[in-house]
Amino acid sequence: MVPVWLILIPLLTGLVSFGLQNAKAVKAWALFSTIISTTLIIAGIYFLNPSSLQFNATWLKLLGSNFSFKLDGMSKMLCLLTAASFLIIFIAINKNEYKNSKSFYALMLLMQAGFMGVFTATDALLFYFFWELALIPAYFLCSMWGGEKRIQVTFKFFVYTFAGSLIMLCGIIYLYFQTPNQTFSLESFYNLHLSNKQQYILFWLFFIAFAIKMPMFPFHTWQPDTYEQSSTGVTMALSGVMAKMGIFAVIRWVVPIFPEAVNHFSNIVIILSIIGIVYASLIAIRQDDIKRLIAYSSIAHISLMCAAIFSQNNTAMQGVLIQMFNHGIVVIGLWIVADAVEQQVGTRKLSELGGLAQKAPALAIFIVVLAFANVALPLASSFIGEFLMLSGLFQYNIIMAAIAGTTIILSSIYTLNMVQKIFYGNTVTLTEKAVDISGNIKIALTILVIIIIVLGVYPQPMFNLVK
Amino acid sequence: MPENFFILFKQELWLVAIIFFLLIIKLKTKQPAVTTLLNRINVLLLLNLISGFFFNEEGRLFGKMFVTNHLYVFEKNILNLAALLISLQSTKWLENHKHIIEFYVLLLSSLLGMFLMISAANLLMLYVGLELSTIPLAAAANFDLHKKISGEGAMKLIISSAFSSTILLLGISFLYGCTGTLDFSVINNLLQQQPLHIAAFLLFFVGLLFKVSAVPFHLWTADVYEGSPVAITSFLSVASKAAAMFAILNVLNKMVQPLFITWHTVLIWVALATIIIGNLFAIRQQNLKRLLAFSSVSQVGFMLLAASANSAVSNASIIYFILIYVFSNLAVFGVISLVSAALQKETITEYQSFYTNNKFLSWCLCIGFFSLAGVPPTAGFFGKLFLLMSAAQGITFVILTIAALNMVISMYYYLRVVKTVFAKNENIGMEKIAIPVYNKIALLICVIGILLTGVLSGAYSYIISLQ
Repeated sequence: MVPVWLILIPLLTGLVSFGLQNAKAVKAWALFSTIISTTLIIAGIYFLNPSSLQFNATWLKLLGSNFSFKLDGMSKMLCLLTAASFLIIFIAINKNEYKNSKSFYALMLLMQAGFMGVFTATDALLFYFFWELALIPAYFLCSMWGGEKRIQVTFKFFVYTFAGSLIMLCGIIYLYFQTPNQTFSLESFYNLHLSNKQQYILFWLFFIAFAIKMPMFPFHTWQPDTYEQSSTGVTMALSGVMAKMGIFAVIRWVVPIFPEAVNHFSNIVIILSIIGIVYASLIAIRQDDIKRLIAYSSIAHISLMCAAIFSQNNTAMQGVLIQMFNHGIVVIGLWIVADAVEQQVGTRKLSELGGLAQKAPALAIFIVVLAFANVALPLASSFIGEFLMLSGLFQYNIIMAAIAGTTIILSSIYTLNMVQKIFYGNTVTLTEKAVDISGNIKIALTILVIIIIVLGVYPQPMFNLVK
Repeated sequence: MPENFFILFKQELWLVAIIFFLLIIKLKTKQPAVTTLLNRINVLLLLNLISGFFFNEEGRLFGKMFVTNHLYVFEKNILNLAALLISLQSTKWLENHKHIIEFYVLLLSSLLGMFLMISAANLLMLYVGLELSTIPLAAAANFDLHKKISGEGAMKLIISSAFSSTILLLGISFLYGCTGTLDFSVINNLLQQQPLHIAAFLLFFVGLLFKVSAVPFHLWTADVYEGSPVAITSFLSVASKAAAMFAILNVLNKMVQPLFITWHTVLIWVALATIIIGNLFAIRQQNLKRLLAFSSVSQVGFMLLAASANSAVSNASIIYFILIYVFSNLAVFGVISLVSAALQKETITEYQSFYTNNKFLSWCLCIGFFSLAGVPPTAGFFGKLFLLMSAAQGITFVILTIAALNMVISMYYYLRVVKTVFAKNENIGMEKIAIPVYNKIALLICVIGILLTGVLSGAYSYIISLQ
């Protein structure tokens, strides 16, 4: 029952919050909901009976689709990431004012329900259902709160991802008719014996949908605009959790079902990913807007994960699994800082900022830790993941690993450049009046930094979790 | 007259009774107040709908010309529901109209024709029903006498339906010439795969395709929809289409099975053309009614695609889709008719910032459009899913994929409206529109229908069990 509750809690609390009137009550309610979810998933991982981690019920009986969920290692980790991320996001944006805040928090919770469903569903149709369910609240969140151009940008985002999803739906229907007893269950998809030709075509039907979601070069064009224009609370959820949906889905749905095709196309995908890494990093160096910079940095990191999956060895896969969690934590931290800077100073332009460290010393300490984690310096959690991924890639092909390795150098350039320009040097007029961050952001960032350092020094719990 | 005449014929008798009741009121010198009259009519329509769910029997009447069974009763219930919802939605428009009674007499006569069409087991009955369902609507399309555009629309409707009836009659006389009978089941036994029979069937079928406005017989749709009052437009696009679709299913299943190879191919190509051309035309529309006209053309394409599969499952999924289509389309039309009655605004650009002052209406519009586009978790997704799944048994995967990709195009133009509604613009923006109780009830029924019919797929199993 645990997976069902993980979906139901945010779903129900989300629906309830549409009815709440007071902005403060809504905030407390949303926080309460995520605390329960987080407690539940932690209990599910460490204390509860493993049999409670599965759920099965008939749903669309005539189609052979079941309401079946399962929490395995990867699902546990990603559900933990989802619950924890939303908890941290809600803490961090607690002081922000949103107009019509009940809808904002309600939609955020509904989105969380969609994420949980995607990560736990073991039925293809159910998976597709939640995949889209997560998109609808995202569409409204992005188009109702955020920057000037948000409507056009969200439109592109939605049509793009919807197109990808429908291609995947065709693939799912095709696989359904291939199964001996006409079912959508993941297990029967795994047992299919598809010819090479079938795999080659179906692989792309699925992979394009996931590549758009990650996003991976050349399907990434919606991402920087959407991340920039959305309200930062939403961006945190999009890049912290939603981007992992793509990676997760490749590991869960593409690699085991189409092993031949993965083998056949791995070169193409890795090359695209590496282009993505270098290209996005180079663009990130040139960005003046903090949010766009983090967006491009996110593309680079996600692309590395994608390349690692397709290098098809155990080392790289271990790296990807734990890096999904670590990247989520780090990137949310970066967004919180970006949001804090914008709230304090009123601009996101690097060229207009400077010397903030003198006014906001606490924020400066946090950003330095987060920056090191983003660069993947040893002792920060990302180091382990990126090291494993790169060494896995190295086993696959040395040259590709070498080019992909530039990600660490390039990311140190843009990350440290960003830190330097915002926080060091002399204060400018805009930063003159800035004060340090408020308590709630401190709490959120402290939690993140503790996770980063603990997992950086002692990553064993993560390895145990995803084993 | 068989003893269960009143039970077998009860739905038609109800309508006749209501029509006579209205005529008697019209003849009386003292007319009741407008609101009382509308209340009475709506109650009668509600009773009419409820009565359809009890004491249903199977049987034949009028020398086997009229057949009824549980499935037909259910189809008629769908139409009754549509009529009730449209009646509730048009109260505001009717309150200022002098000819309320005439409006309902025309509407219900047309509904009576549709019932006869659904139950027909004989070409004569089918033809009579078809004419009875079309001619009153042509009169009703011109109901706003002072509008020139209405006159144009009504003229186009009457001419094009007269033309299609001619072709239909030609087909019927050919069929009669080939087989010497007008009875569906006898024709079914006598038809053979030979040129004359095929030609006869095609002529007949073209007549029916006109009624559902399948490409290439769709050109009348947009002008008629634009010219008619919203109530009639919604009736045309929901009830009229549904009834013609039911009749097509009936004919294909009961009358022309020997020609399956022919009509299977014809339907696939017509369906594909209908989906694609309907969608492409819809992209460029500025008037919401025209947009919905073309979108309904493409929705019909999906139904025809499923009809080509010729199985019990495909029939059930079409009927299920029509039920959902009633909810989704009427949710959209419900909002449009309110806006049109209050402010005479019908173009997309006039809906700019609609959300600012009309939150409830905006959400209804939005949910309706998402359901039409087929996005989970709305019922529209399940409707399309079942259609595509049942169609997949008879068509190649490529055609399925083309159809699915067309959902992206439709998403594009539906979302364009949603985008405009939520776009923020302080200068323009529609004033708040008061929502009368009836309209609110109708909209709520539609929204609840959209949200529940899909996820709780009981309706589908129910339709399957009726066959």
